[in-house]
Amino acid sequence: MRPFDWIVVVAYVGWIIVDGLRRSKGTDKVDGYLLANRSLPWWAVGLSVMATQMSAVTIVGTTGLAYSTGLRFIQNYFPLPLAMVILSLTVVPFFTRARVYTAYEYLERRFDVRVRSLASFLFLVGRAASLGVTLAAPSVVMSVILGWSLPVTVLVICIPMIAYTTIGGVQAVAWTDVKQMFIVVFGMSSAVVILLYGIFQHVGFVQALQLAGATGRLKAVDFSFNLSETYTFWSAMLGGTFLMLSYFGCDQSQVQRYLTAKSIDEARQSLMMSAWVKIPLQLLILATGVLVFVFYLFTTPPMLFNHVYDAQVAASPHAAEFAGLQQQFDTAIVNRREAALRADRAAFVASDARVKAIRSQASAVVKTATGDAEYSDVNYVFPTFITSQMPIGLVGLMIAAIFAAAMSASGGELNALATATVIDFYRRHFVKDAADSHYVFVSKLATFGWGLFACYVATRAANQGSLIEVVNRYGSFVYGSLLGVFILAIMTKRATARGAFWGLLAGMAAVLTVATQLPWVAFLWHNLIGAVVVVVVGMAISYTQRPTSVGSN
Amino acid sequence: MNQNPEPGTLNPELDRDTPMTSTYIQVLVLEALIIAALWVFGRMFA
Repeated sequence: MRPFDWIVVVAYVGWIIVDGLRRSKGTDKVDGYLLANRSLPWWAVGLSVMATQMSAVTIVGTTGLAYSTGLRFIQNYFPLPLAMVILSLTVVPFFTRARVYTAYEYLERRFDVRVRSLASFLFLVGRAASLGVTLAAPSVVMSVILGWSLPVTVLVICIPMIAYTTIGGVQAVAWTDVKQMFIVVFGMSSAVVILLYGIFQHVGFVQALQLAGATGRLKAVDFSFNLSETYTFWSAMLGGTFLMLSYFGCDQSQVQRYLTAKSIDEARQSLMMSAWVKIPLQLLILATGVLVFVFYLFTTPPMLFNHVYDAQVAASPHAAEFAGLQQQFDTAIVNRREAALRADRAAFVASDARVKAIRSQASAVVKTATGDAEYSDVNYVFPTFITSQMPIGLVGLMIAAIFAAAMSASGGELNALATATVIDFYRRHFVKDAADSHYVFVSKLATFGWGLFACYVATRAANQGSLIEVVNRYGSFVYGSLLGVFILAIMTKRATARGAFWGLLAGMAAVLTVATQLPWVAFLWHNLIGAVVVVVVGMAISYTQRPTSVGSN
Repeated sequence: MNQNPEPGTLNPELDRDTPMTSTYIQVLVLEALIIAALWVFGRMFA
């Protein structure tokens, strides 16, 4: 990072914060603070929906994942367009006409306060945990670049984000998201141009694709039906559809985005924007990770991208072993480069396997030497490329994009956590008839409190493998069950409050059992399992009761 | 505190609800084409 890059970062982050604070006008009422007076245009809501989902985790984690395993993570997004269509037809008109602040508010109207409170509580737990991970991603980046400790880095990111989210409410969040999307797309496109320029110094486009393809990195679609494989077409279209339906239909951080739209039509159009754009956008990000792999075929990469423990390993009894691996790695890299330039496919695949094996051994040595069993360098790949290979100015822009992505996505989640806390708990159970100004004040306090909690979680989540997977794992614990209870609420008239409540608990218990007793079952399936168990148990219990009219059971 | 109309209260602007069937079909067709293209692409360079 050179001074000009720092100027770019500081200027961009400063602009985000100042503009976010400027948007605090009209937020003195609860409607304004939590729902922007339902006044936002569809394109701003659509960009905000995508930005809330596409956080810094996406930039750092997804590119690292693509570097290691290729394009197959794209399958995770296959169900998104279908989910958007289903949600546009079902929950969007439902929630808008219900005039709710939170998705869970509707559950009390349909069932009872127990179901609403339990669903909202599950959302708070799941979202608070994953919010920490969302913040951890840029903290990892900045730790690498600046050599700061993780807690300090987390605070540096959190303080401005908490400030403008607390003061500006949902309007500040939404308009910050809009800016974030433009800067991320521009930044990632710039990275692709730099990567292609570097690659074309050595090989042509087709040969670059052949090299990536030879290692399996261009295999995007896997039709095998394997429950233990995380990303397959079937796990995506079955488990993933439930994850998407649940995330966009039952997670307050997303529902709140389209509740700010001017009308049902505009809310639908905002979701359709994601349906059109999300897969191509994710392909751009994943392709960037694959291109980083091809780039490092011709530019010597570090043996491990995460240098946090370099000094500790060098001072440990394993130093000689690590140095030996480094020598083997250097030789393997030269062999791989020569094979790639010769277009000798068999030699290239063999030498790439050798490189991979040495990296794996080196990682194991670090784990042994440091005692950190969670050590991973997946999330350090792209930041390393940015800071070591991109030109002056663009380094600052990319870091600013990662900063902004973290702040805007986390801001949306913070805003949703505060809304659920105040509307579903504080106003519902504790102070029911206070003035608007009181609830706005409490909402700001809740935003601030959840911000501090998220900072703490962020310091604990940084080394849990690929961050994007960690987010989805956290979410998959609760999302399927939440979706199940909304299916009971919206799709059936026979479901009762008791059925929904115990069904929801049964769904959570089932997911917890599968996650702990059958760890080989990929986490995307947890969503399907949770939803199915909630619906089956909920309906079974409901049928043991006498039918009652909707809303009165 | 609640300035929103009560549930069931008509609000012509907020309740504007136009069918988007053709958009839904276009989105799903595009998705199918993308998946097919990615599958072919993966096999071409495998």
